Amino acid sequence: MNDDIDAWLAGKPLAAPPSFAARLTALAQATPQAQQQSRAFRPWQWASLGAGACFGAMRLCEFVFVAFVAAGAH
Amino acid sequence: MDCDTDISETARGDHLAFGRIVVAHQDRIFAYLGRMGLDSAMAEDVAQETFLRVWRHAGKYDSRLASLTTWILTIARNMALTRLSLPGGRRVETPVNSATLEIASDAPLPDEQLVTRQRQHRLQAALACLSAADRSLLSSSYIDDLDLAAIANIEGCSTGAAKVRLHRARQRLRRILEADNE
Repeated sequence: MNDDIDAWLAGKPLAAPPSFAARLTALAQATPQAQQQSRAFRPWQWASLGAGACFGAMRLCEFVFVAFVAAGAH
Repeated sequence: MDCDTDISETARGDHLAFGRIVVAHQDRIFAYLGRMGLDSAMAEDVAQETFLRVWRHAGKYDSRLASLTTWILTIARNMALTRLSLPGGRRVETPVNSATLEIASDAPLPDEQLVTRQRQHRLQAALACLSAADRSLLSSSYIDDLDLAAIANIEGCSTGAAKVRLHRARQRLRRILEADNE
């Protein structure tokens, strides 16, 4: 029984029609390809990156300012 | 010219390279779809949609993730499962295939041919009793040059899970055939 299963499954129950590849090649010429999605940043990604950078810069300025004031107080 | 070159040329719109990919893979895809239980008309539809999807999305193929054959078979599998899940999609063909003819030519007696034919029909009917996912797994396991890792990739599971599922599917098929014999 195992041999039967193997023999049938290893066989080729269906084969491609003779003109299949030629037909598909012709069909492909009439079919537009999908545009590759751009991997570039989208506007909202640039905006959030900018916001993050501004926030970081402000925190750094704050730190420098506080350190400057503290040094002056001493 | 290898298939990786062909797929990158296909991604650039070279339809001749695409034609070479179709020629290189069409027999495997049709054999796979036939084992899945699709009849010839439906298999042709699914194969056509599969290859057109390859054409449209050739730029998305990443050779680091899977071989081209695995990628195309994954598309074919998903399309076949979708098609089989649609109403009226469960059509199982019982063709006189080349394997049958080969066996038949080795056994010239008509009654032996009949027995062989009946055995094939029983096997196809038993396969039709399995779930489409199990048929897909069994079917892909008989594709040349496809190791267990590639089969697991097509089925979207781990290698271990594919091995277990394959074993269970074969057991289930054997049980169906044994029950049919009793």
